[in-house]
Amino acid sequence: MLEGDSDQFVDDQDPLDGVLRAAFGGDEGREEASTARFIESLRRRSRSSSDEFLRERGGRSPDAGSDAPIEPPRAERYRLFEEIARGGIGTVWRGRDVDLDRDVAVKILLDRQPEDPSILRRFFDEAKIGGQLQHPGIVPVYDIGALSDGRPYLAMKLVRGRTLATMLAARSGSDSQRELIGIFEQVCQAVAYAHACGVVHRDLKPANVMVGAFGEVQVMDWGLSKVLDGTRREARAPEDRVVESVPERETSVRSSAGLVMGTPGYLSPEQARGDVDDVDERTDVFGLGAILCEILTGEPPITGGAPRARTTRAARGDLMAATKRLDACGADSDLVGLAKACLSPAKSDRPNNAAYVAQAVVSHLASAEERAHAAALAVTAASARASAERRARVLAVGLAVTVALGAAAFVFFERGRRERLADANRAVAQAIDAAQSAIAGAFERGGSAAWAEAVAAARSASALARPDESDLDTLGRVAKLLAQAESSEKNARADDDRRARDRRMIEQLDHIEERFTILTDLVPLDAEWAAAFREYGLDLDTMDPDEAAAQIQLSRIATHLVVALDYSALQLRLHLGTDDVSWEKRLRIALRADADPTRRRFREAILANDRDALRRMASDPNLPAMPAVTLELMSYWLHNSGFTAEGLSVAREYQHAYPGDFYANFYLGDWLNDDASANRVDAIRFLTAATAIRPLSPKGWTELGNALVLRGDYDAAIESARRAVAIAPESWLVHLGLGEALRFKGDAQGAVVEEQEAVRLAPANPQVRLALGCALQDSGDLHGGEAEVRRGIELLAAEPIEKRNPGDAAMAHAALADVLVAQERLQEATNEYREALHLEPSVPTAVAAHQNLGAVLKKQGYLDDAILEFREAVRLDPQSAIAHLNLAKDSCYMSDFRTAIDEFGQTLILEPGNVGAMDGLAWLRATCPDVSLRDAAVALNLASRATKSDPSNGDLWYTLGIARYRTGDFIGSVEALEQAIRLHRDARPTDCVFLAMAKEGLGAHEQAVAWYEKVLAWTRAHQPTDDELLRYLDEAEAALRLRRD
Amino acid sequence: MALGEPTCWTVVMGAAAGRRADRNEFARRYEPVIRAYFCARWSGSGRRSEIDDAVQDVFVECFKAGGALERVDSDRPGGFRSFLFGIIRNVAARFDAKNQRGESATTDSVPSDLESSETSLSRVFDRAWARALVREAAALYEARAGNLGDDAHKRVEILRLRFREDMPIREIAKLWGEEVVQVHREYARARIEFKDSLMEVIAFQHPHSRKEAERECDQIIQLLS
Repeated sequence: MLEGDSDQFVDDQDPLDGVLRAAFGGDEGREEASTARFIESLRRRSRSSSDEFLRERGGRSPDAGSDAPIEPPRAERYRLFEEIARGGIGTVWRGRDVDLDRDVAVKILLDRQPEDPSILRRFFDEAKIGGQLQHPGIVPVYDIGALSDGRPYLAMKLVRGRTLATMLAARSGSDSQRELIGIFEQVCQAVAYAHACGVVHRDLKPANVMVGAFGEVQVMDWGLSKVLDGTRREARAPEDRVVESVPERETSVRSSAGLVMGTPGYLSPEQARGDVDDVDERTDVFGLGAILCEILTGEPPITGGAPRARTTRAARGDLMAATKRLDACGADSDLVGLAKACLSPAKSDRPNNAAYVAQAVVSHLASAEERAHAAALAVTAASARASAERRARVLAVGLAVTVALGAAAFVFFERGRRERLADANRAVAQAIDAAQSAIAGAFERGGSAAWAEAVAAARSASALARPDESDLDTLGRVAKLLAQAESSEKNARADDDRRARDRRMIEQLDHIEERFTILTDLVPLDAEWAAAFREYGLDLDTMDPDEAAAQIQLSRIATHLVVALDYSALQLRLHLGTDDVSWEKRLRIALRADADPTRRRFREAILANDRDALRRMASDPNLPAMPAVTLELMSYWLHNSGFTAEGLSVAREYQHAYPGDFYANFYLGDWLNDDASANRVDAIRFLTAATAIRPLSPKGWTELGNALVLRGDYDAAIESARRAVAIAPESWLVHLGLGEALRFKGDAQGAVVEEQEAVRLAPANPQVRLALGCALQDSGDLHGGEAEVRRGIELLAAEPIEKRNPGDAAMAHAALADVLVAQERLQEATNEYREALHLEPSVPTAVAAHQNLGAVLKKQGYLDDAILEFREAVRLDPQSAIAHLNLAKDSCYMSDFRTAIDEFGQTLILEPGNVGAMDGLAWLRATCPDVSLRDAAVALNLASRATKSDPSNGDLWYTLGIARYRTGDFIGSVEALEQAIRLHRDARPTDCVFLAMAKEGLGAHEQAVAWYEKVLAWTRAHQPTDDELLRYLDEAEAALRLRRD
Repeated sequence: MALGEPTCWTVVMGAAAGRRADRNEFARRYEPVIRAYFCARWSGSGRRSEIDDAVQDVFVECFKAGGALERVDSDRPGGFRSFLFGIIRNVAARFDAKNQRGESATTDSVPSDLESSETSLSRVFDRAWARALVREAAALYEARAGNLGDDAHKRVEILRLRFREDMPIREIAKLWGEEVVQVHREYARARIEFKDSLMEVIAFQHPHSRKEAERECDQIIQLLS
């Protein structure tokens, strides 16, 4: 997605664009119909005169077997004189426009073609494209019409002159090569214009270049040309002219009768392969290279063999022979290099379009002129040197005799000097070639390393080119090369540095953001964050916001920077509160620096605290089409600014639109974790996706571990938490997470180790103290646990008021109460639970506190108070099964059996598999003192389900025994009660009483008496006070008495 | 896809069984793809006149008693596309063999190496296939929009202006006198809706597996991007 351009909401580089273009871009049927209509109209225009045409031809219909007209055909406006050219589909006639009184060339389809719709279409397209291209180097099309016999024609400017092919065949000497390069440059300019209009010629060759008598150059035969689609037009003509689209028609172009799409010998590999969709401007660049190759070497790139063989070699990109010929042709290396680049088999290696080629040729011509000028200067200088030498020789005559031996020696050394000079010049020429190649390579590869190589090569050339040995031209070229290479290297280095700096900044920002979640200590992280910005050249604390925003806009990583500003602003707001306005400054900088309209509106709404606008934006139907960073910003801010539901909703859209985005999955999973009503499985799914996308993110693994703990999957939670610890052992948060997972799994010792590490890393963090306290309590170290929990409470109390969270304090007091309960210090525990409820009277903390308080009160015998607490827990969270269960049990104790039955029932509605509720309700329905509430069948059903759920629980078998007894199933009752006694390992008096009763029901009186006596013996030993038990004992005594009587 | 809704396979089976409507539908759907393959294979060979015959031969091959369609297996990997590609290739090979027997050595005809370049031809076929499907998706999308009122119709128009007329969104907004942002939103929605239509058309080809249809959709996007 492009940032900052209001016209680029949807990325134009989206792969779906290609599909949409194919779907909507060209309506072939409509276009074909339009062509057909046009041609039909031409025919209608000519139909009236067709009879005359037939009469003139001796009453013979146009001869399908003969291509040559018997006499010049007739067109109303044009007089045709002679055929001047003939191609695969038509003939070209010299003619005269009688209306405008000018000579024209008229192209007419061959007799056999007019019925072929594909040829007609091509003819029509040629006229249409040619009529729209207006350039001195392109033959203009004046008119299109139909002859009297119905054959379409098109009238063009008549160019008098020779084709480039003819000139190449007749050329001689290097002067002619310079002229040819000049012509070539004009061809490039014409084709560059066509490219700018979105047209590719596709059949560039010397035969299609006409050179007029006055040197005017025109590119002809646009019959195979193609209009590129919009995305492939890189540039526009100066007047922003674009040729009206003529859709590509593979059928017509690929299978035109007798014609290859292009000409063997000049075909680019993609044309030769028939890959029409791959044809673009670079196909013409290949054609230009082919023309240049022929100019330089005398032959097209691919020569020899049958056309088919040449096409095959072209398709393979077999251009070795052409390359060798170019290397050996002796032309200037820049031209040879250009031709080789244009003829690269891979399109990506060729210059992008004809404009590049034209520019290179222009540069070559300019440099050749410069060289010629320098050479002229050198000749003058050499002439001056020669006359000076001549004068010197005259003066030396007088000394000739005396220095005769010396003169002989001079000749010897002079010869040697000239040889050395020639060697040196050759070496310099080679070094210049090497430097040019290195520079060309550096242009291609880019990067400072490539330019360093180019500088080294240019320096070598410079070192070799000594002023006393090289001519001015050479010295000038070397100096120019060196200056170019050095300047480009400097720029490349600066660019590399900028990229490296950008990369470093992104990495730093990511690293800091990652640790914001797992370390949560704002001050050092924010300092680190500010330092990263300072190092990047943005001192946000001292800079004016406008200045900072302007600088950010200039950065290539502007979006990263504004996202970091948003994030840090939120962190400041979360940690320092809204009274501290430092967050506002950062958000304002982000607002000014970021051109994205949605994000701008969102930031404005935050700054204005416009809650309605924020809500509206959260429900914008276009969320799925927004960029990922926008959705990230919105979901994160909303969720952390009190719009929990809206944040979650945006996060859902974010994840849906960008399922492969780490933050999309992480936020959604994290927030589903926080949402008590959400499906834990979903949270786990998204967090698992987040860890898969970014497996080295400790926060991803930590949150996944937390979600798995909530789900009760402790083994997987431990594994996730261990991954987090392995990645970020310095984070107290990950150790805390692992400790919690271990504790829930029952590994109290392991939990203690992890929580102690968390305390070591963050000794002043109350959360870790509390977690350690709980772990110690679970491990049996009640005093140690109590000490840590109390320390946690102290640390919480010491926190600044604005950071204090009553929920945290409430949980701390509840944890202290738990540890006190474990020590049987029930009164103190009661006080702590009450304190917890005082601090946080709302759900969900309070629900657990009310229940625990109820349990403690019950344990102390305050059943009335306990039932009030249980009722409050149910009121606060009617969806809590455990709250209903507690209330049910306590109601039983209070003999409020109706309430108990209702609450057990409610528990089973909320949690149908709750064994405790099944057992309680079964027991009540089987044994309730209020006989009207008994229901043996229901009891039996529930008790059977309970024992199936947990067959190792003796209590459940006991209830089943009673239920069966109540239904009269004494055998079943005996079996169940004997199973209960086995599982209890020792017979409980209640087991014995019912077993005795069941035995009695079976008629086994002796056995019944034995069990009754066992109960009475136990009673005498234990003196029980339990009402229910006493009731059964009474029953037992009565039964015994009855037996004895 | 609802039970009883036509799929590529119901059309293929119907055509194999000789049902006229299915045969017509079969020809309508697959003729452009078949033709594109032959055009690419015999590009520049001067064998244009053979293309029509070859296309006809493919249909004969498919519809004749005991023909290819009767042997088709809807569970084969690659769906009907790979099956059809096989038939076309066989017909082309037959034509080439016949042509080589009667061809003089100098004819500027099919380069033998290109002929064996099935990768390139397969790509041409795949692209033609992809184009056929996306055009059908466009038709479906347009037809559906016709029933959904002005806004839906407008979204189709945005895609048409954007991709047929090559107009930037800003210019479309100007043309309609609307906010650029609003047009962008509609544009984004239109893209999503079009993609849904495309998935539906692809599901026609891959009715058994949503996963396979999604894979095909990705492939089409890749081929045409």
